[in-house]
Amino acid sequence: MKRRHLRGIGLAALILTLLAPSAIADAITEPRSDFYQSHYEACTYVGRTYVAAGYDGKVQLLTSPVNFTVVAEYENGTELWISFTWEDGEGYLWGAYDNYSADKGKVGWLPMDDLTLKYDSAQFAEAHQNELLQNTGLYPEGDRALVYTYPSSGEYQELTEDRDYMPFSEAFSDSSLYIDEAGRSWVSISYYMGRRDGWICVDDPLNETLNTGFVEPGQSAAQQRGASTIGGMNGTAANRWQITLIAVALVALVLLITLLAVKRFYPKKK
Amino acid sequence: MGIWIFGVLTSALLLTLVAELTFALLWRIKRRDLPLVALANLITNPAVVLCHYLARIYAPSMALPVTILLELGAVAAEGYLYRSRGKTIRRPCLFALCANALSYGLGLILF
Repeated sequence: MKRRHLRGIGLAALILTLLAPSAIADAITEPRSDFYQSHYEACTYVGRTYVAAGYDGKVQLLTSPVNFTVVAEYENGTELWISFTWEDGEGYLWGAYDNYSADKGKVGWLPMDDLTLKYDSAQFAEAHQNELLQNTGLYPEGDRALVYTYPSSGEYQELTEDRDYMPFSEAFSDSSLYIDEAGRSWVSISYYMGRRDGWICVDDPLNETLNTGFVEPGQSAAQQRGASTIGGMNGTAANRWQITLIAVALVALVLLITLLAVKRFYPKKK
Repeated sequence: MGIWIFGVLTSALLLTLVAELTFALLWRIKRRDLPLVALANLITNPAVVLCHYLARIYAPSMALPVTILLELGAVAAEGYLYRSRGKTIRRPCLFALCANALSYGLGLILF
């Protein structure tokens, strides 16, 4: 009986150990925003990097979609990782931004119309879905490789093999294969030791100069429209509160006058 | 909340008036009480629509229960007015319920 219990505990420990990497991989970072805390049910997880692309050369990080206090400003071209989005009653989509390391304390919300999606592995896979093949055993030689954001993007991070975690020979067994114009083979990696969604050139895994496939970020909705997003939202937060107060006062006035009219023209039945 | 709210309030009120007055005629309510139907809607509709949008903007997770409560409140208020002040409105509470269900359904389709 005792032995069976021990076996059960051992099996549970093994299962937990096997699940641990995927649990880490699936961890979602939540923004430290009061607005997020009170609206998390209506927020949608995004978890992608965007590029600041405001109409007037910058974007403003605001306290929340209903409080337009400016927390920070970012020049166009700044990369911002958006964790969640929230849509307001006027149809504007807002992105939550929280930079824990480089910009301490800077947490807030940006209009998504002022951002443009940074071309990444997901967009690459979507654009080249007909050219992607199933990897049939290719993996980088050696214990180091450069993980590019997408093939020949010019942007990479170094990856070192950790055989205790997972040897390279196994890490790429279920990945996609892409062959670029120069005939180089690239294999995708969804997650390995904190690195996620990238591509490795198996023919030349340490080449730092592969940048011919770089895709410039597109125009944001605000740039296409040719108008500031915040400016198009009927003014500032103070303005919006004024409009709300006017609407409430107007409705209350209509209600009062109508009640008096009902009393005057339709007296209670006896 | 932006200036758009005034357009929404006006269009919602006009739609409701057209729908509920037409329904009142079908319910065979006499001309004498038709203004009462219009006045009752003038009392409830702008308040319900405004509160609905305030909830949608400032407390989206509460928007549905708030809207249900508002609609029930509107039916109750209109039913009370029709019963206590209408002269030719048969089964006033049922009329209020059906008329509001109709206008709410139309609103869902059109907005």
